[in-house]
Order: sequence, then structure tokens, then C-alpha cells
Amino acid sequence: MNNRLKVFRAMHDLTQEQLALELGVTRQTIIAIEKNKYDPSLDLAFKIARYFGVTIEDVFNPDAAARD
Amino acid sequence: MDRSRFFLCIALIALAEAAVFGVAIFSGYDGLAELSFYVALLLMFVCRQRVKGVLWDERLARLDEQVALKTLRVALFLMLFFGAGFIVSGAMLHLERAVNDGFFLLSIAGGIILLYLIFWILAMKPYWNEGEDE
Repeated sequence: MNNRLKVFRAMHDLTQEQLALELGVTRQTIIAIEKNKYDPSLDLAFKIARYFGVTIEDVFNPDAAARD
Repeated sequence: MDRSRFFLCIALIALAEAAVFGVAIFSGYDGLAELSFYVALLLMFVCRQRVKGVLWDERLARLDEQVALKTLRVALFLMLFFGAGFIVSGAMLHLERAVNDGFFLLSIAGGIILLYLIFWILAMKPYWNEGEDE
């Protein structure tokens, strides 16, 4: 599943470590999501979307093929 | 303390504990070996309390599940394979020890499978009585 987490993180001027702390996950999980190596749970996906004030579809795109 | 420093601390404590434990057992100080084990546990607990940030999350939990399942499958396969092999070869060569070892391995494998089934049934409990299609 493709996602725009890196874009939203850059827009909010956050480091991976800061975002990880805000979401209650490890920095490695943020890296894995950004590189499309890990699909987050529905719970975490909602958390990410709510944190950035957007919908899940704005962040995650299940139709697009993974970049890596 | 950050995550990487925490894991370094845990590794150093484990190394020191292994060294002290080994020397204590070798020298005949069983009490010291036991004491060092509890001290190491205490030190690890103190380290854990000082960590800032998250150490465990859903990605690691999912990885843990996958690794645990693979470990279980491989361990069961090896126990069943070698257990049966010991029994058959022991019976053919009249080696009572091999037959006993084979039965021991199969018993352990059977116990693990039984435990797995019990936990499976308990995990399925919330889905009992799902009712008719609405």
C-alpha cells in the first residue's frame, strides 16, 4: 500500500523520532511505513490521519502499487 | 536513555551476568550465581525505567507473532522427525535408550500441540455464539 506519510511529515516539519513519539510507535515503524515495507493497523492508520487532520485516504492509497 | 543505548545496556548486563554466572558455578559458589541472576534482572528493570520513547509497538508485535509461529512449526517438525527416527532406528537396532529418547521427544511435541490447541480454543472464545446470518 502506497502512502504519503513522508510528505505530511515534511509539511508539519517533524522528524521521524518526533512523529514516532506522538503516535506511540518506534522510529523504525515510521521508517518502515514511509518505505512501504509495513502496512499499519487500522488503529494506527486512523491515529496518523487524525494527527495530521486529514482522512485515511489522504495518507494511504491502497490502489497504487508500492514504490519499492 | 534512548532505545539504542538501552539495548547496549541490556547486552552488557547480559554479558556480565553470563561471565559472573559461569565463574560462580565453576568455582562452586552456587549462591553467588543465583544472586548475580537477580541483580542482573534488577539492573535490566532499572534500565527499562530510564528509557524515553517507545520500545514495543504493533509492528514488533506482528513480527513477534510471525517469528513465534515459525519457531513453533520448526521445533515441532524437528521433534516429531527426530522422535520418530529415534524410535524406529532404536527398535531396529535394539537400542532402548534411543527408543526412550524418541518417546520423550514425541511426548514433548504432543504436549506443545495440546497447549497450542488449548490456547487456540481460548483465543477463539470471543467468536463463539456468533449467531445466525442476519
